[in-house]
Amino acid sequence: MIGRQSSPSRRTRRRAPVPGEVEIARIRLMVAGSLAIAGFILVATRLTIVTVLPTTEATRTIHPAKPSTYSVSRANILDRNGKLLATNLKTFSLYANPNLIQNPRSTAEKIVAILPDLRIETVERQLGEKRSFVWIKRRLTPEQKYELNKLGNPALDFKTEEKRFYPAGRVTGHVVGFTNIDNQGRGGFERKFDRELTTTSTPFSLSIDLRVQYIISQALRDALKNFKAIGATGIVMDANNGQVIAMVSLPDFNPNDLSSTNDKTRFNQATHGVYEMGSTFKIFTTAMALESRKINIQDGYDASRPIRVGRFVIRDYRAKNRWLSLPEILIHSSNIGSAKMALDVGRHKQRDFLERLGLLEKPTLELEEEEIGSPITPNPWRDVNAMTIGYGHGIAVSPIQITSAVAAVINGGIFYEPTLLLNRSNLGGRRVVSEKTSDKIRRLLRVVVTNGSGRKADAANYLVGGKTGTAEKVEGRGYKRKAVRSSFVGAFPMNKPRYVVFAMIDEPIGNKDTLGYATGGWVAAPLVGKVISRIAPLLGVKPINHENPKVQNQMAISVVTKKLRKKHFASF
Amino acid sequence: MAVVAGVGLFTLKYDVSESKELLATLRLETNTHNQEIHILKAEWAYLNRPDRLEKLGRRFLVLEPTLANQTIAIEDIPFRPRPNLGLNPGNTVPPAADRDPPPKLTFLRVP
Repeated sequence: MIGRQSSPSRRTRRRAPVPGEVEIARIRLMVAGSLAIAGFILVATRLTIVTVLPTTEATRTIHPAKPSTYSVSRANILDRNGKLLATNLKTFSLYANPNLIQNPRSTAEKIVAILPDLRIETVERQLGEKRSFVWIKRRLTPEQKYELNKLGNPALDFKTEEKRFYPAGRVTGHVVGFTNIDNQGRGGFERKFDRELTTTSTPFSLSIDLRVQYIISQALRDALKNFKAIGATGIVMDANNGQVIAMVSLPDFNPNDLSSTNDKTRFNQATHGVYEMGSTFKIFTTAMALESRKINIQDGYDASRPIRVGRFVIRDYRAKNRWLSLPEILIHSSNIGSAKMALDVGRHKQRDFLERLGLLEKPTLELEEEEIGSPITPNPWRDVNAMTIGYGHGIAVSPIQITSAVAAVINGGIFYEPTLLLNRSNLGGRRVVSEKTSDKIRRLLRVVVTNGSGRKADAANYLVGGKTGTAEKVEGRGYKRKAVRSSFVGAFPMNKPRYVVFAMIDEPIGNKDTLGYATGGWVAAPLVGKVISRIAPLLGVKPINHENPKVQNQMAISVVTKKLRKKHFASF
Repeated sequence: MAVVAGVGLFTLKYDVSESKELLATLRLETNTHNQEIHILKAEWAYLNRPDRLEKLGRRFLVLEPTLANQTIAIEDIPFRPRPNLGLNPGNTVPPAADRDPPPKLTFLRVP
């Protein structure tokens, strides 16, 4: 186009073209033109691909606008039903830039007029410092913030801060834990999962059921008051996967107000404390004896007189002074029988067995190492140790350990590590006793509740089974005769256990209702019974008609009362 | 052609910036609402804490925690015997449509 238009003027100025030159020019033009056209076609094709055809590489990079989400710097913690246990709330904190303050005294007076809990002298000194940043007060109420804003002092300003808030307060104090003023986890789950909680925004679901947690904490609180005890702890655990449904330790603290706490209230007795458990250990001695096939359910031991070992004397609390069969040893909680049983199986086997039940090592749980107690075990493990451990003395374990060990021997024989997480990845358990032994233990524990020391734990229609324990407290080098730890560990329903409940009261004093007794059977067993009758409907456990022949068959056990061949079957 | 393209581009640009502004406002609003929801959720959890619910339940409800003997297994509930019309001798299970709906087992909500 351009060539043709300009050619006349060119012709007038320049010589006539040499023949062939035009041809060359035309060819050049065509080459250049076709190159340009090819380029345009390329662009057009690409454009079509990008704009018309759906989802190519180029279009995929264009994202639809995401709605912004409100995010906080620490993830929420929920219970197993999605109830909020911990969340972050925005609050305002007051800071000042002392360099901009002309009259520290008058400013301090104005501030203290709004924040009466501050002292004028302190604030004045703070404002007089040669710095550009000083905290005056953190976590203001909205009204305080409004009033301070009205002062219109450019040296004062606010910072938005987050405050951890625990709606359930002291009910979940030990499990969920707490954070310090800078929102760093300092106790419980908050401490162990500090990093995870701050790096993700997805909430964490605990295995805790807030309702169950409340019911057991309330029951323990009542017991603490009624028996003038110094402490109490309780655990509810799913017998078939080790999930902790509730875990309480009293005295407790309010995680929303850390100024009211001290080391004693923060101490989690359920995991941190290790105690001589007393007779509840007889469950393991019996399971071990049955598993070793040395002893059968009809066999027994002579418990007619105390055993003397060196300077120890092993005696029974309420001596029957006769031969006792294996169920009777549990029903009457015979120390002599259990000691003989343990010795019969042997100390090496006993140690191996308790090790498999996780009683000799620190349990793994989603809490910081420092909040989990190490069991105290004898070293060396002599015969005398074997005997005392047979009835729960000379070994100290934490309540969480005994709860998961009991869960293992009654659930069919599978041990699960205790956990606080609802969705733990590795849920595999390991076999510790056979199905058969587990079945016998279930019947035995049921009989302890129907006919033995655990009678008061028998919540109607939930087929409770369990064992009481009353351990004298160690003081100095000996045992304090009057001060005891009374406990009960039970499970329900005993024909197919779903939950294990543990309760322990520290130094209870018997009252009129208990005829002055402060033993596990009088203090802890009724508490567990009450707790079970309230939590069973919430946990969806159906009432069981124990007159149903099928159930009776599942719980039947023959209790021999005399050695020799004369068997006295009792239909329990 | 250039003029048409120019006008088109101009209006498009203004449309886009207007939409952008709208988006920013909406985002801000969403954020504020989410924040409010967050606080309300915390407050809801606080108001629903078990000890408060128990107190309120005691005060305002006549309900009490369910006991085991107040519930019954569904298979233990007998069918209503059918009135004998002389067609079938004895009691027979009525056809599905005539049956009462199975009674619901209601568990009381306990704090």
